[in-house]
Amino acid sequence: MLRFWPIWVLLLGGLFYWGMQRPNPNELKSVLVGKPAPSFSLPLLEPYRAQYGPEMGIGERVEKPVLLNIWASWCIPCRTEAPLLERYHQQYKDQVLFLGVNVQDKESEALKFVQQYGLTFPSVYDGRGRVGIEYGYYGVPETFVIDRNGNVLARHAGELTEAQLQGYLRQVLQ
Amino acid sequence: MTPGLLGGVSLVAALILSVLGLVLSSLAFVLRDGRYLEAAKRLSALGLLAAVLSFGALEWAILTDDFSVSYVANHSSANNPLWVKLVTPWAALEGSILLWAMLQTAYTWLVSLRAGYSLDIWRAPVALGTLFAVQVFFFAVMVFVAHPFDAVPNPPPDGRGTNPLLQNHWMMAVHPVLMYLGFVGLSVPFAYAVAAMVARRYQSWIFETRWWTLVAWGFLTAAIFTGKWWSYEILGWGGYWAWDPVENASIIPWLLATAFLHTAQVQERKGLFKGWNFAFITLAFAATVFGTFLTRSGVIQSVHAFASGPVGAWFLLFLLAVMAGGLGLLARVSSEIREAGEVRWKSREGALLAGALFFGTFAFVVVLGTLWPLVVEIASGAKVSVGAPFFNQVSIPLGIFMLLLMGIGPVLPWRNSSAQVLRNLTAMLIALGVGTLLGFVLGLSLGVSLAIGLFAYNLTAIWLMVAQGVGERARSLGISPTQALMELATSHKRRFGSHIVHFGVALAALTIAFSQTYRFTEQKTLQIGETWQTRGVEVRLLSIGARQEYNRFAAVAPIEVRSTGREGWGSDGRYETRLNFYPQMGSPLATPVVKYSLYNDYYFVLMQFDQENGQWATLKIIVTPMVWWLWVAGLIIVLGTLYILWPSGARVSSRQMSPTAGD
Amino acid sequence: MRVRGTDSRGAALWNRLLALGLWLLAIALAQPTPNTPPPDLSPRVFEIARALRCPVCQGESAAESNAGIAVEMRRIIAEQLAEGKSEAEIRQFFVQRYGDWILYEPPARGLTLWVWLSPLIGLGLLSFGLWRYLSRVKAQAKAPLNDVSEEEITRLEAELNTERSS
Repeated sequence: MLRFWPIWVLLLGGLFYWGMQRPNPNELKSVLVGKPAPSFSLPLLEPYRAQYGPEMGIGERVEKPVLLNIWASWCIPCRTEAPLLERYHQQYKDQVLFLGVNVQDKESEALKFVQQYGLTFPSVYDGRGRVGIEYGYYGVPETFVIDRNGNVLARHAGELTEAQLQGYLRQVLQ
Repeated sequence: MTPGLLGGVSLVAALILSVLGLVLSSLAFVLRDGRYLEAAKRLSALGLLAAVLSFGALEWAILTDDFSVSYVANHSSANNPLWVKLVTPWAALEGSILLWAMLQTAYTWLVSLRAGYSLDIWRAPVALGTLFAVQVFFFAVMVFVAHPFDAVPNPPPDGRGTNPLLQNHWMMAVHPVLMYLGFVGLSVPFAYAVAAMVARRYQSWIFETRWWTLVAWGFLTAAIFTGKWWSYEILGWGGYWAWDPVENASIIPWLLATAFLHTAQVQERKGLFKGWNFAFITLAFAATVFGTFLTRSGVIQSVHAFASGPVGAWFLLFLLAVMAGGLGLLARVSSEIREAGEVRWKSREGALLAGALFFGTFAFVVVLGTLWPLVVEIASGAKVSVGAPFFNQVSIPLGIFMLLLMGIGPVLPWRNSSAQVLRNLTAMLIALGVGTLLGFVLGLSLGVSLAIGLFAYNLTAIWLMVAQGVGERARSLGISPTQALMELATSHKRRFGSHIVHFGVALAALTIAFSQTYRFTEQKTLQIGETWQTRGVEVRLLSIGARQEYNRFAAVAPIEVRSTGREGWGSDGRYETRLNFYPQMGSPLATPVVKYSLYNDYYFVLMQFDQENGQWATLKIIVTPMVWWLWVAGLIIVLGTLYILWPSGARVSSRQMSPTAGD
Repeated sequence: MRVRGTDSRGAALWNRLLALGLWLLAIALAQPTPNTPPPDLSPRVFEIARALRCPVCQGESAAESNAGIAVEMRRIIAEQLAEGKSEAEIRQFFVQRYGDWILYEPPARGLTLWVWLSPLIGLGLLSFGLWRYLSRVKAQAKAPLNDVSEEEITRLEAELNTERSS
């Protein structure tokens, strides 16, 4: 055993090297990918009720692909992500449903946020983050891409870049 | 002269001195010339001086709030109280490396004093060279990647402040220093082992190395116990050991050093297990580097991790170098060591060997459990967790075997056993049975009952050994038993010290069994004035308030506790539960109120409170039996170690080491 | 950049500070949590939560952490216990959403089975090593003395001499 010491050292070194070069060691893969998105229905934030009704959510069946974005007003990356989402919502609103889920937040703060960034895509309010747990979230922002059949296609943890968002949209619209 | 300049210059000086020391040691080794060795010895003293200057410069900068020094600007604040400033050097990455390096220079210097005595011209250059090489690494890391004295071009008016977790309890002033003294201390046995392996003298290194190891082991033990204490009193979750990767990293070298301390006796006595001893001590030192690497590389998630940076890669290289050097030498040596003799299983050496087997296994389990999530991620991409519930469960059988062996070992003689030994063992087994039965009668769980039995078993073993030794001596010399005890205790310090340590370990095992099995946690929201009946106490919320303290805000919720039953005995009083808010860290810290008693230990944490009207507060109560006794056990173990190490005057090697041992 | 761990938790509590108004220290971005008390939690809740990992924290369990998610996890556990669900069912609930990662106790199957076997593997490997070592010791003890090389005898003598002189 001891004779093979260079192998042991290399194995250990390789293991740690691999561990250190991971871009994000904390990344957690979603177990929902490929499975039906958990259904929920939550009250919409006030500004959206006129257009979408009192409640919104994911049902057994979805009419079109969904981009489910979990956000909070206190989350800094969400602030740069919000305008991006709004822009793409304007562009794709006929093909993809952009749906925000505000979690772990105070409703008044959420409303302020929505107003500040002029978000026209609907957001529901989930003060305790229960839906977040249903989706297995581990931070905000987090985005779930749900296809026409209501299955989760991908989960993106962290802020979306424009290129990533385009990629997801292309994937879901194929 | 500014602190930044002094610190920077002395750091570079220390690096240069270490490199020179390494070069001179190598020359002394290659040319077999004592003059180079003498020069290297002097350099070790100068290296210590440079390191102390550098460390002093950091303290100076912190105490004078010199925010033009990067470390001070990033990790200190003008508002910090004096004691926090004094301990700030080891509150963050760069400073902790500096402390580490300084302690390393101190150990190197102490070892240099032994050159010419126990370390001959064959071995001294190698031992010193090894230690200088370690020094070179630490100073190079500071000079090139983690420089504490970087100049800040536009010094801010105030620093970013010190990690609040460290400010919350004075124990944090002590725990890291003890940990480093232990970790760094293990570099000395490693250096002795390397020297022995390079010089191919495989027997005589063990005598002095045992002492050095015991010094490091004592510090490590003290560090582990103070760490538990800190975790218990600060982190607010009611536990003291979470099996977090970083905690694991501190227990691995401890386990391996413990194994070494036991098998070293066999080598000392019978010249056996030489190869194993080399392996244990090499791996123990490698494990300290492994621990340092884990805390500083961010490779594994942990609560205790320092902010990770480029130092991770450096530490990885260092770890691999230590492993490669140590294992490479071992491989060469193991084919060459001559170990002739006979191992009898039913004797002391058999028990010591079996004990080492379990310590080694335990270390293996902890290493594997710590690394396995990474292995699984490589193999399958999936993430898994290996945490406290796993380690707690596997520790139980391993712990039972170790406690059994701990009792048997000292009772068994080196030679074949006699009738007396058999009688002793029978008495111990009876104690084990009676103790366990007593636990059952009291309605305790199987594990706890067994823990009581094992405690009685070990107590009996120690009692029998002491009593029989004392009785024999008193009879044969015709002196009083007290006098015989005094004489034996001073003339057989190692033996008596080990009894003390073993007693402490047995007590610790008992308290761990109780506290882990019967911890009780409950949470309730109380209105002001409302009372809460639970576990033998009645808790009343008195008020909710706020307070500003030197560098923090605190939300305080005073409570009144009255015991209502036997369980709650000793918990009466008024306590102030609080949440501390530190401006530099977003997260508030719940500082628990801990009320120790001889049995149950009450623990109150303020979880949340009514921010608008101050009408309610959510309290968590944790009741854990016997935690206080765990600290007593830790103290006993450390005192026992100190007792062994205390210079008796007769032993040359122990006199030489008293500067560290007496600390 | 993504808000995780201490950040989000910190932000959460930070805001309570703001809301208090008493202490006008914060300028901060605060996570406004509803000012309602968390549910009362029984010892059983903590027992279950202790075996579950808090998703946003760096290695804390759901019993210990004060992060919003952990608070909600404890609430879920309490609710499910009230519904009469068993501990295994509650764990399963979280595993379905987070995978095995959320369990601090790795399942004894697949790749993590090896962790459970590690005490046996370790003991086995070390015992094997010990056995080989002991058989070598025995063989060496039996070997005739003239097998010892000149060089080794010199070394051993030198070692004995230094010992005496030191």
